[in-house]
Amino acid sequence: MNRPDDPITDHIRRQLDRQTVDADIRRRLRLARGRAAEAGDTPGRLFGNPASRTGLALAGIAALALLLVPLLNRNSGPGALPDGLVAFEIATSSEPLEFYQELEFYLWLEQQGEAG
Amino acid sequence: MTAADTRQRLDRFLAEQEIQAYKMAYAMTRNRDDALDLVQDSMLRLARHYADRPDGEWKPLFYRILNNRIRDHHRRRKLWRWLPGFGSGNTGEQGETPADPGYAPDPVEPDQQLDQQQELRRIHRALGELPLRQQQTFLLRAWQEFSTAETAAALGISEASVKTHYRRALQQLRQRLGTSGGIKA
Repeated sequence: MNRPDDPITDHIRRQLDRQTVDADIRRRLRLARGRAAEAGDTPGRLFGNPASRTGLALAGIAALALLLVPLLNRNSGPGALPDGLVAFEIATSSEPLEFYQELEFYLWLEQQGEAG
Repeated sequence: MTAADTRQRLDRFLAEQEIQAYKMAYAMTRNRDDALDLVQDSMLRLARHYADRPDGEWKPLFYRILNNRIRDHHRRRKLWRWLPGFGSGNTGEQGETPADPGYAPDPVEPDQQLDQQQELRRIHRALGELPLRQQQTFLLRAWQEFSTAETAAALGISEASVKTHYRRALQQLRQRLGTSGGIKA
């Protein structure tokens, strides 16, 4: 963190810092914080820890891929088997956990960029 | 790391940020309920998606989420203004009479308090007249004391853009608030 030095920035910073927030706002912020802290309480979440979340996601993808492989093979003839296997391999490959955690955020950012 | 530890650390982090975040959201919405909603949404989003990230990453993530939310809010407002029946009401938005901000100067002498309130309104008005990106850049850099790189990460733009937005914001604010004459300590 660094602080740009300029009379205007000093003045604005001082004015904004000087303000005190009223009791109602403080109360509502405290309630919001409490709700957020509860939401971040990992064992309370459906997919609690990162390992189980990744494991469940991969298991779901693997099950879906197992269902899709015979369908792909049946619909596209004998030559399609390698594609189905490739799809299975891709579906069950292990991406870094951060990838899944950031995916939604980056998707959102991308939508922002497209919209703007 | 237990769930109780995470909850405690998250609660402490949010307690440190909530007032600043509220003031920042208010400066860019000029509406206390909207500002509160934006901060609350951002807190929840951080907790739901990033509680298990290292503490050091929370601040840039939190402000990134908050600034995205503020941007979404402005886009929705623009859309509503186009819709019949939504365009004329006083919502406390920029360029209109601001609603009660939910905060006031520290208790001082009445005359001094009035001066400070007027000065704060003047600052909010000047900030509100800047394009949103300039407001965000200025508040993150000058008030939250983010570095250029941190500001770029929080807003999802390049460092060069941060420098440009910041420089333009500063020029506009100097013109509107005066380089020194209009400034009261």
